[in-house]
Amino acid sequence: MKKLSLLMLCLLPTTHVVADETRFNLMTVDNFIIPGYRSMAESTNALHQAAEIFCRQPDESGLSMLHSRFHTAMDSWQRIQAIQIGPIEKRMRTFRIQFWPDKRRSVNRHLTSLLDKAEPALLEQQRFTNGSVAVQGFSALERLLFPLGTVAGQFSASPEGDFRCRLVESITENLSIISSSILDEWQTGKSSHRQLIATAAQGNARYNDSSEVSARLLNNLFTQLERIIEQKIRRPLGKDEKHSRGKRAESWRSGRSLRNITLNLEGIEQLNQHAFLSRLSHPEITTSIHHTMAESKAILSKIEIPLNGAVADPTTRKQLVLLAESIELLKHQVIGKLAAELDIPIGFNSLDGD
Amino acid sequence: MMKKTLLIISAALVSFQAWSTPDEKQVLIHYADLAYAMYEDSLITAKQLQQAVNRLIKQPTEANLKAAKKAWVEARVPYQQTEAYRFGNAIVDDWEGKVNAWPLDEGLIDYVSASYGKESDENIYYTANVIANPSLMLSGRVIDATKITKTLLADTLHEVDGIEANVATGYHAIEFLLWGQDLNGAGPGAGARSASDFNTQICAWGNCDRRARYLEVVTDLLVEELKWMTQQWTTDGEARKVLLEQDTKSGLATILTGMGSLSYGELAGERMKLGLMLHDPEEEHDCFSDNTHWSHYYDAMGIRNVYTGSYRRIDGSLVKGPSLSDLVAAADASTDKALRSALDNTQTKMQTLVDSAMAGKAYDQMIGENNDRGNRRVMAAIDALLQQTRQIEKAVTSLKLDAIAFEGSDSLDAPKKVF
Repeated sequence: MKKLSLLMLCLLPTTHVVADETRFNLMTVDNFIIPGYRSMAESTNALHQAAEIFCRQPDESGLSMLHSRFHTAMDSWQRIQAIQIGPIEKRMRTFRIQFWPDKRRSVNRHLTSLLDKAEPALLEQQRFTNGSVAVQGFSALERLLFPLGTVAGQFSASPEGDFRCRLVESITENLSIISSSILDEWQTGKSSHRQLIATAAQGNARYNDSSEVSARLLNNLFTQLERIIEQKIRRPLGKDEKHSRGKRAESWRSGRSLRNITLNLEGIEQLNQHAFLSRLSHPEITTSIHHTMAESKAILSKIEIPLNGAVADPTTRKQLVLLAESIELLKHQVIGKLAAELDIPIGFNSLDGD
Repeated sequence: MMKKTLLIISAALVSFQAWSTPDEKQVLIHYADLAYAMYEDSLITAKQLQQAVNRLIKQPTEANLKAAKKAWVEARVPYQQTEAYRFGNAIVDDWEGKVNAWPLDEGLIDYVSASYGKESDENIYYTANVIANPSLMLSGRVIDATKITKTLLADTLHEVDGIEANVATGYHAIEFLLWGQDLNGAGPGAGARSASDFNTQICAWGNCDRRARYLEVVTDLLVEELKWMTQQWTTDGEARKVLLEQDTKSGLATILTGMGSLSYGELAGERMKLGLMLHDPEEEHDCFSDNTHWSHYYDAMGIRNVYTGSYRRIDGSLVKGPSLSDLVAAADASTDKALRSALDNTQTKMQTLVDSAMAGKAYDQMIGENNDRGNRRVMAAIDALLQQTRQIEKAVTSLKLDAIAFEGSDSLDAPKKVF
């Protein structure tokens, strides 16, 4: 009898945890992931429409509409950027949406070559999506919409201007198609990714069990923190002022590098809340993570010049160093305390390469 | 009688060895022994490359150029296998940029074609061309490059201004000097440098004396560096000491970190996926020589070596001993089996890339646009690496090493800060 109860004690919490794990995973899907992709599908569709309107008559008002919708669409992407499981994994969609960082200047090389060729056939949907990913998403679009000189005239009525505008249409259409496909594959039908997560506990084609889903989500969270620290802040920062590299900042041409980080942190906060903190019975860990998150946001909000300029200014450099340290602390709280408490393995991060 | 019994027992022990669990420490010691063997082979083959290069410089004939290229390809065989040591062993990771930095902006070193491009957001020195310029402006000061010396290449030029694409030393700098740029795009053919580029009598592109001198110095540097790294793995070498002094669990995590990080972020991501999605022939690891298929193949083999504790040396002998695989098998036999089969599967997929290259379709053609078959082959190898990474993560869990975070320096340098 005694033996039996011991056995039951061992079993009970486990089944309980499994049911809970699926519940928390689905909560994350329903409250963060699907709404995030829905907003991305809507905003990229609006962006594509703005591109079509602009290309019919390339004028200032059309351009300002296009700029504003570029920002809204990029906002929605940055908020959900951390998620690297599910339909986004297919066909290297992450990189089609945004090719960055671009260490080998591929976007410039491939974009220049495409504009030089100016063959309309290259922009046909099928051909375009099977070509180089470097010209398919936000990075290439940003170069076209926020060039160093003035935009006016670049889209003028000429074969060149026309091709440039067709390219803007192709990119925005591509972004819109990818985003709505991702949304669709997450939520529609029996083989949707949501369904795979809902049935993960029994094991399926994609997941061995529900804890594998949690482990992937935690890995995504951790990788995103790493991406912010290393790629978005420290690469442009360099070791000192003289070695700062403002042009390595993400989205510097459209002046939204810091805004991206703000949105990344918002996304991380939501992901963390739904997937992990809400199932934690340890208030100290939640408190310390909330505290560090608030501190990171506070430091970020005090930086008043764009990141590409801020890296070269002694005062703002200090703030950026602090910001990176603060997010690093957050990362340590996640991979140390949180992961240990929930007993979730972190796994390898995809940014380990050079 | 007594003696016979003992013999039987020891024979039983030997045959039983595969099934018994080795001591964790023994596994670590053997891992260090394997490292020594691999780096020593890298050194031996680099010295052979050095001799071939010296012959080429003395007599710049096509035959000697061909021999030097062959020596370079052979030198890559053991070196690529050592890459499984890079991530995880800080001493290797801090050093590897001197010998295997990639990708490089080759315009820093020598003449390049117009298609190389004229501007770079990332690197202001990307057309500095030290071979043509005895005087250079770097980091706001004038550099006297009249004499091409080890110091100039290793300390002044290499990674100048902290820009990683400024690669002045290592295998890929040598590769560029031997082959030249591959201007065939996604078409067939590698770089086609002529031996006359080293011939001061008929020097079409100029500066042949400086080019020859560069090649000589950069090859000498490679030999020196490999000698140094081999020493780090001797009985009292620093790398071995660091590995064995730590807690054995951390030591095992070092092995798995090396395997996982090379499989995932580096090989599957940076070296393979990136090139495939850009369909860009410049995005291949050995872009001048078109030797990429072998580089990837031996990377995969290196990962398998450190897991199974065995390495086939260049002289044909087999080094074998207590392995991580034995430990994982003892903890969870199915995890070990799954990981072994994932490693084998990767090797098979890499073999397909090698076969394709041997049949005349090189790696840069396989990643080309509109080459569905080639693209699928490369993707299959990437997928195999991703599968393998998941299995490595499971091995980590089976050995209860989860608490050891897998991202190198900060967690390993300051464990207190993390946990």
